[in-house]
Amino acid sequence: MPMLRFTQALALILATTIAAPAAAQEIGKVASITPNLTGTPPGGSTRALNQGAGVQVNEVVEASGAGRGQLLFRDETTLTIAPNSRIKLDDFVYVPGGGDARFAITLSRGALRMIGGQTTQGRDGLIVTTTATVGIRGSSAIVLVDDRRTTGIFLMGDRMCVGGVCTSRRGGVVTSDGGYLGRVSGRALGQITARLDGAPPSSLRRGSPSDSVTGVVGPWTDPRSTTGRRLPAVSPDLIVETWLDQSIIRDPEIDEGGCDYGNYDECF
Amino acid sequence: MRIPYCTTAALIAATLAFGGTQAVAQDSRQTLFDALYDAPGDRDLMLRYARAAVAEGDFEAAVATLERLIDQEPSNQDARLELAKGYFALGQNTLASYHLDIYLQRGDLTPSERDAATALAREAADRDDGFEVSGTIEAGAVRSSELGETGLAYRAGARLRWDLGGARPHTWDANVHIAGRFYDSGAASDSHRFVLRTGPRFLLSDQPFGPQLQPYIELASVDDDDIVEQGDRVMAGLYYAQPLSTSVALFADLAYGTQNRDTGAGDADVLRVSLGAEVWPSEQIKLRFLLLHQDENADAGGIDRDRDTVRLDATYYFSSGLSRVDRDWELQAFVQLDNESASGGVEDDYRSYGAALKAYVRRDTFVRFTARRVDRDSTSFGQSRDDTVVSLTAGWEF
Repeated sequence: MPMLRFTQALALILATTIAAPAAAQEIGKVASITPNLTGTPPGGSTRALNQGAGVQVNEVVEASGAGRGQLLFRDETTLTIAPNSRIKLDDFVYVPGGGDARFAITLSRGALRMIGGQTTQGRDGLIVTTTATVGIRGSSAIVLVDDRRTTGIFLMGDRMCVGGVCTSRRGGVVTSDGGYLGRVSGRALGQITARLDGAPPSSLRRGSPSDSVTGVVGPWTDPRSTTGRRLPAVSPDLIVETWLDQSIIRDPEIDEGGCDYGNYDECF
Repeated sequence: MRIPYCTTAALIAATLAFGGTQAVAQDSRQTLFDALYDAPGDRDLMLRYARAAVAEGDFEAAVATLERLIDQEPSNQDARLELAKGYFALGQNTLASYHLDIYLQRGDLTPSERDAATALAREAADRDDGFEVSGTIEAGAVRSSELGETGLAYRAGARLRWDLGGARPHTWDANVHIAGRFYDSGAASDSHRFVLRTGPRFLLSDQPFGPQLQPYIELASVDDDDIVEQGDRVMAGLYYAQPLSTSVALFADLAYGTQNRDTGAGDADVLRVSLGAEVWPSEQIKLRFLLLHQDENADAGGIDRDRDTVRLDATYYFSSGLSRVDRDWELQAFVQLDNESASGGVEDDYRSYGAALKAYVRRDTFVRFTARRVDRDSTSFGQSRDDTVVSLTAGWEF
């Protein structure tokens, strides 16, 4: 009775498929949370998100006035969500090792910091607000929205555009209604960082013993791009030093052949 | 004098070995990330992953990871310092300063930790204020086997950078460099060189680490007993730099000008073309290739000269057990081939090679031991000879 078995198996597969909707694909996880975030998946009900909880495309993530958190995506993008913020994860496509890649979210309220991952290398990650579309390429940026304007602060990487006005200056500020405004002050960036990360603690203590992460980065280190690119350290000393060594053996006083460089022609 | 050749060969071999391990490192990093994604709260994994990212030059991934770690453990002063250093490495000096201020004001620090963080905070603030000055002063003893004499070697350089403002970070750069040697036998043995180059540096794309172009004016002076070499030079040039990837950057330079030489050699028009590349096979090794051509056309009756140079520099950065500071020492080696042809059919071939050890005794102070060999093969009678130059110098970086 092989035909019957096949029919039964097909029926079982169809029944299973119809009865249980395809599991939504997880695109990222809640990496940290203080003290709470909520998530509303498409077609689902709002739930409290815990550390390690997965998020999916079209899910809405909200932080209350006291809540904030960080999402880690499969492409290594890290999204920090400030208190009183609401985002929707519109689109995320990432295939490790290449292929199509997209990252798009809607920020309808509040502020976020995006430290870009693989999906925004060489292409814009999009943050859509009510007043502008922010494009972030190879980069990290802070985006703030209110009723009137969208403000982007470019932190590092290739570039950030707000409503078509772009900057590649680290700390450059672009708003949806004022264009490029200049560099953010240290004080303002500190206040915004404290809003995103919470006020720094009153005292610090040593962490668990471990080797340094950043190696020997120090005052002597030249900056590099977010993808590790460096500018060649070429300066006029290259020319000077290149031909300095040869000069010593032109010295006429050690010339046993009697060549006098004061009369150059005699040397030939 | 075979040691420099051996050193160069060893550096190149090490480079190839490091290159072969890159794919392995990539696998390791992906495995670590997969584990971290499964356990985003695992702080030990975070540190291991951040370290793996830095080993590949990906400081942004390290910064993202450290931000998540600090969010979970805001009072961790070590993680906060690493985060500040990550931002500094990426040129985000404002955020580096923000985290360094917290670290310095609220951390439980030893005097040496405080000194190191203060120096970094000062540099971050300097780089952030739109006007940046850096440089080196170095001097010491030099010994020439050909002269049989000991003398004084010196070099100094400074770089000034002004931020020109605007949405793209264009700058105005000025570089000044002097180098030379004094010997006991007097002026005939000495050589002194000075060069100043200045001009705006433009970003040609909207990427800070994309192609860059610098039109410049160069003023140079050489005080050397060679009448063709000696003189003052004024040139206008174009310098182009293009990072291609994490490990490769190209540069090209084209300059044209005039040189006022000593009487007898005749003033000359000078055309200089150079092409080169910097290659970082790993975080510890830098290679620099240079092709250089200079064409000097003298006024009537003067001495024309062409120079062609090929040079390879290799630098290995390593942590020394002898060091008391947290700065890598540098083992440098180079090989250089030159051909010079001048009026009258005179042709000189130079072969130079050497090695140097640059050892830091403080974060900004170093001692450098250098051994170089120059062999000259000349068509001119009695001019084929060689020299070994050994120097021990001390330097200060600012």
